[in-house]
Amino acid sequence: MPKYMKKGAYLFVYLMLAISILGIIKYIWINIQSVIIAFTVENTEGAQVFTLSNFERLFAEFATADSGQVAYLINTFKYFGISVFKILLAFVVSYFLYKKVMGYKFFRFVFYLPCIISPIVLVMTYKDILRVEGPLWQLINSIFGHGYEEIFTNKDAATNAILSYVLWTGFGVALLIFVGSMNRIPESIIESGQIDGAGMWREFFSLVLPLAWETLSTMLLLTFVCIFTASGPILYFTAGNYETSTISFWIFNSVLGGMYNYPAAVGLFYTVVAIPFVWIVKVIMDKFNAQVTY
Amino acid sequence: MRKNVNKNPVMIIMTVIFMLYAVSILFVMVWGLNISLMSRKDYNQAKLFPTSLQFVNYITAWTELSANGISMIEMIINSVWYAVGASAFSVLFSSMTSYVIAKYKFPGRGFFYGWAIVTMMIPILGSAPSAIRFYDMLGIYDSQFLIIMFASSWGQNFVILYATFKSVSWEYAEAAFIDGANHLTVWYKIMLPQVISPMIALFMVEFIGRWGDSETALLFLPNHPSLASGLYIYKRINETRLNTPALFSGLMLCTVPVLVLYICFQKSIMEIQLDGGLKG
Repeated sequence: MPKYMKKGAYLFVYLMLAISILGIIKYIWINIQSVIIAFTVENTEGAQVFTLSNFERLFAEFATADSGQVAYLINTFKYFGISVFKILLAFVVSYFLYKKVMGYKFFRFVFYLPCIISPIVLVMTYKDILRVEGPLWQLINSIFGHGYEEIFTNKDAATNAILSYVLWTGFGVALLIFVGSMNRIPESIIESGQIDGAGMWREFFSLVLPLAWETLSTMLLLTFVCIFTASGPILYFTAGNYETSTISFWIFNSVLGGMYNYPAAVGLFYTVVAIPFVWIVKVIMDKFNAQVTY
Repeated sequence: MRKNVNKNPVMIIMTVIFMLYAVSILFVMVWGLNISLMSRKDYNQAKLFPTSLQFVNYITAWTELSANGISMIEMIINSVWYAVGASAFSVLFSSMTSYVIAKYKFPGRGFFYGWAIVTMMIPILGSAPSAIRFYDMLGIYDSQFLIIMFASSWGQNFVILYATFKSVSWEYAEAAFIDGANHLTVWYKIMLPQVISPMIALFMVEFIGRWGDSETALLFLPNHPSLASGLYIYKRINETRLNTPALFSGLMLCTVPVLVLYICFQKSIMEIQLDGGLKG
């Protein structure tokens, strides 16, 4: 850095970072407290005392096949699977938008709408369309002569219906990011491929995928980070009833109900499990990185 | 070259699939509007369309919808305060942090960059109880001042703005320094205007997300419900005697601000890019 730029540089830098440093302190404080809460319970006199009982309770639940925690974990994996699928689907959809499929500007606008509209609005409307005597029920009833039972109070159907909703609400910011990433690919590379006779699929797998891989791998990694936090708008659908809860929703609902220690212990357990998993995924993603610059 | 691809059968099939998906999205919007214009009688009789359009539901929504004694007007004020304040803080401080890390070399730079990337990859669960206690200790739990806690400079905003600042030429800044400008002047007069478009886009994306977020308000602002959390509370409390068309009118009103912003700023939002991935 030249001398004329050095004057007051450090003071400026650290003042600019002041709020971020406070943010780091907040982050550390909250998470240390979270660990402490996980290892404590409130005794009869209202004091917090050290204990391992929160974790013993969690492992006891894991040992019981039909316990709540096992069900939450299974549901969480379902949402996680949908999240990964959505990222991959968003990449494919982005390719067609990048290739300027007919009406691509309109589609790009509409496909992002589910992210714009408040989840409570979409969920309430979606539920109303699917409710008994709603429009879908009436359509099926008119075709087959009978409708269907209430979906969101049926534990065999509720989670799948919410998963369908999560899939239907689409691709989120990933779509915009992928299209942006593909638009940065030099036109000359694509044209060279086309001159060499590369068809659409060849172009997708041999040119676009490697050149946009860094963005795709980043988005996939960020999805894998959420392996145990994957969830949907369960609050609006069922409030966790009818066996629809996930780990993160159960934690949210428990805290909302005033229970702190056990949810903190469950959260800590999954955080500890997730960290090595995420880093292994990152190492694998980096190995596949094409290291392409353009 | 690309225009020829549109005649490809695959592209035609994809256009049809995309059209069906787009129609399904628009149908849900229209259906919500349809219910908001029904009478309670029509709705309870499971009619598909209103016998007559009940625009009065939108007036009823203003007077009838409330949560924990908080009127719809107050919920809107809470939503604006929370969504605008938290989003503005978040994007502004992210820009400050990402700017100095991208453009300056200083002791601790590697730590801060590493912190941003590592914390993005640590999936913290169950920290809400300690966050409640922390905010309570600071006296901002269930207070409008809680938004200062959302002045987070890390996460996705940091990554995107860091990549943006990296791509901005430093030559203008050098010229300004030679002309006698100080660091602060260079930042807000030279560098910030060059990234204003992605900053607006990030603000919009964050604003839209926070406008629809009810879980944060339910946990941390129980007596200051936002529009989203307030309508949820109204629905939960009045489950058995719910005025569904009025509720849907409220939901439609909740949609208007974000829809208008989306239409106005769609070009900026569509240009969000995550260049460079995560290099840890």
